Amino acid sequence: MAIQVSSELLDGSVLAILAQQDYYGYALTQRVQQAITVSESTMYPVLRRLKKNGWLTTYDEPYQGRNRRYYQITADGKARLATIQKEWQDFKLGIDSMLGDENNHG
Amino acid sequence: MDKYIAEFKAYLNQLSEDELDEVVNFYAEYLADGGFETYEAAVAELGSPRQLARKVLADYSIRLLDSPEEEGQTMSGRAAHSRRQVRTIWLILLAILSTPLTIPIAIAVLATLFGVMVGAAAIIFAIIVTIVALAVAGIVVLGVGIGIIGQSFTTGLVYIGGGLVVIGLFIALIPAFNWLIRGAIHVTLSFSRWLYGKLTSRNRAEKERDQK
Repeated sequence: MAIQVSSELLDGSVLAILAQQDYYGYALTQRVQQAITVSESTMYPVLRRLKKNGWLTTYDEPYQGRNRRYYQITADGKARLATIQKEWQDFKLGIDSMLGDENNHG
Repeated sequence: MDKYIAEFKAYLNQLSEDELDEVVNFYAEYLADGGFETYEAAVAELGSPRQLARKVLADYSIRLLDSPEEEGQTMSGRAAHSRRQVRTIWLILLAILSTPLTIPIAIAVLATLFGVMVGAAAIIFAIIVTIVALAVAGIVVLGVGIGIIGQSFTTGLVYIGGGLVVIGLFIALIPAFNWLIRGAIHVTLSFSRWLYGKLTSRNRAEKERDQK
């Protein structure tokens, strides 16, 4: 994929995934990679930033003799997600009005 | 896998303990969950421990610059800020160095970055030389003036006046020099960040995906 994903869109995508259910690091990375191209080392900075801003919290659960850290969206995170979704819709409509194919808008 | 994590950890000794624990746990868990049991499997997934560590350090350092509130707690003053910027340029350079690239691209990137850094260093050096030259000239002329004022009062006064003018000029220009040096550092940093951003999209996972 040639188009770069901004950190804001990555934040939004991760928050949207976490709004459905809690994830642990590896599964979350896999989930994001199903949809878009991100490197393995992209996710940690994103998760740390989201946590620092209070948009997600973490909790540990034992799994096969070790801990798994799960990521959970907060109320602030949901508000942030709504903002990013709104911004993305506006942006998407704007770009589509120039780039989108003719079928979409006559 | 333990060996991979141990090496990774060793490269991150500049991080605070909390930050270190968090990032090491994240990648240890990641490797365990992904079933990357061997050292080789871990390298294939995340790159060598050194590469991964440099990426973490570069990201960490960029983030510190972007969050002024953290800045205030740890260091204060604009000089400290400039020092940190220089450190970030260095970390980004290291991160770029350990990003896998084809040789021609790597050479081009390094040559460009090297050129920009040499340029910035040259500007800073030129400014420092100018400062020193002005200060020395001012003091020498002032000294000559004081020396000969006994022999010829008017000539002495002219020299003293001239020396004071140069010193005054020097003092008046200090903020401008300061600004220029900060500017040179800032431009180099922005450029290396931009370059780093361009490059980090070209890692293994993405290349593989592009080929699919």
